[in-house]
Amino acid sequence: MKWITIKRHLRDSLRSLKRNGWMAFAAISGVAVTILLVGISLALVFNVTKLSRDVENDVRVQVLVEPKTTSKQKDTLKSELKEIAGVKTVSYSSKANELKKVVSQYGNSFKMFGGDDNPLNDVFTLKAKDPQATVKIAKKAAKIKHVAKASYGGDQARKLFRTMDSVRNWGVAFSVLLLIVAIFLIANTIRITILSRRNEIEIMRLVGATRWYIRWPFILEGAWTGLLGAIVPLIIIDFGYASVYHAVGRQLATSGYSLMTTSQLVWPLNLTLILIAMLIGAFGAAISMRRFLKV
Amino acid sequence: MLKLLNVEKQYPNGVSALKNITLTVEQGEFVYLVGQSGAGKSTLIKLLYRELIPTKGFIQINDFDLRQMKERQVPQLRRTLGVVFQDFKLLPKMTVAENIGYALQVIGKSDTEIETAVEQVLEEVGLAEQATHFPDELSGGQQQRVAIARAIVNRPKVLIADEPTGNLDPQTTQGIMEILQRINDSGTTIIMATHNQQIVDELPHRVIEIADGQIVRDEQGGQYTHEVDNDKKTSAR
Repeated sequence: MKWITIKRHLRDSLRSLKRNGWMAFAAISGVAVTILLVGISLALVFNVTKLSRDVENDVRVQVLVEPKTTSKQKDTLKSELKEIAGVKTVSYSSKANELKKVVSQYGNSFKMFGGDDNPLNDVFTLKAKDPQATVKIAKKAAKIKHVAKASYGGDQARKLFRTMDSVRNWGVAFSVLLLIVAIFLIANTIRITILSRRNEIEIMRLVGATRWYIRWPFILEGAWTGLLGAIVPLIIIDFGYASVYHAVGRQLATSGYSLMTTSQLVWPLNLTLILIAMLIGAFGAAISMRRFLKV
Repeated sequence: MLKLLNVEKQYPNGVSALKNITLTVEQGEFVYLVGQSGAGKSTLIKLLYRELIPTKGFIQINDFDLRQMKERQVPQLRRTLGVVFQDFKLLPKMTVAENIGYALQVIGKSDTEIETAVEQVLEEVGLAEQATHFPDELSGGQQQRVAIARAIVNRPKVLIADEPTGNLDPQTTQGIMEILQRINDSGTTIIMATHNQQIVDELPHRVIEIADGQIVRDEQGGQYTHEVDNDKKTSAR
């Protein structure tokens, strides 16, 4: 395509947007509502994904060492634990150290269990490379000599993984559904604007414009409609998320989890939404005008 | 230049709009297509600029074989034709100059070339002052002159006009016919469907009469109505 033609298509698409003011406004409003819904849903999905990853990554296998296990035996146990497939790190905490944790969490009255009265076990904490492998690792660890117990939260961890998986899958499915609805909504709104311009297309064909020459300004116009339609919802989502982050983020932080920061979420989300809006605007325009191009 | 051989057109609903049309038009001719409403004039016109495809037969215009041509070649054909309609078919949101220049834009002419050509053609149709006006700011006659300017700005070999004076008063009609005559004098072939007896009779050219989808008369310098019919009308009076 010649540069002059590209320039003309760009100019014509913008001019046409201006000249078909009210129809353009209707299409832009349609895009805005849909993008707002898609944006909110995506922000939720992104955050649920992050939280579920945080929770997943937080799951560890606690290996309790049998009492009276010697230091040498513990060293052997450590290397055996390290060799289990899928284990990322192995860290050791003595029973004295474990008691300190209990004291710091539940109070000084537990100090009375110090020294030989300490009923706790020495503990190896295993972190899995893939959180989903936690269960397998725990089972293997339990079979090793000098291991009293290997726990990973058992059914609770399994349940948690299942819940997180389904939350993520449903979130993604909901977003995809919303996107499909968005394409239909936008395509239909643009179809109405194109319907009102049937004569224009007919005249373009009469003077010898090729199909692509006719299509391009409409496709670009669809993309501009998408872009303009995305601006207001993006502003709402950006400011809205910032407020939610300040309100909820701090509360969550106390539990050791966090929402995506504004800068982590806003830019990728803005770019994604702008791209989606422009693409579905252009795609909507392209499919809406197919039948007007038939001879 | 323009050849039709045993052309037939049947619509999907079974209506046979044209039957066995054979005709040749040479470069530079001015041809009137006359006949009653529904006779098949508009169908014939649409076949010429390939808005319709014939059911049977052969059509050749400006070296394009219209029955065999591929969809993507249609724009090339239309660039060698000018088409004018009764309802002008101007783009209401473009100025006069933009409406005319659009025909040159689609073939990739530069802005300077477009500007020069538009200025020249606006002079030819007497609308130089109205270049920046929008169609709804013009009279019917002026709008038709814009449509003619758009049709000829590309200097086509053939100008096809479907009832170009159908919406105009007699005085404006005369102005339009003068312009068409000048275009024809410059060597452009003109094929014009019309119901206007006065212009056919006062500006005599070849007359092709269509009735019930068939050519019933093809007469050089003919009148709107066949002489035999005229005689019948005279004797009836």
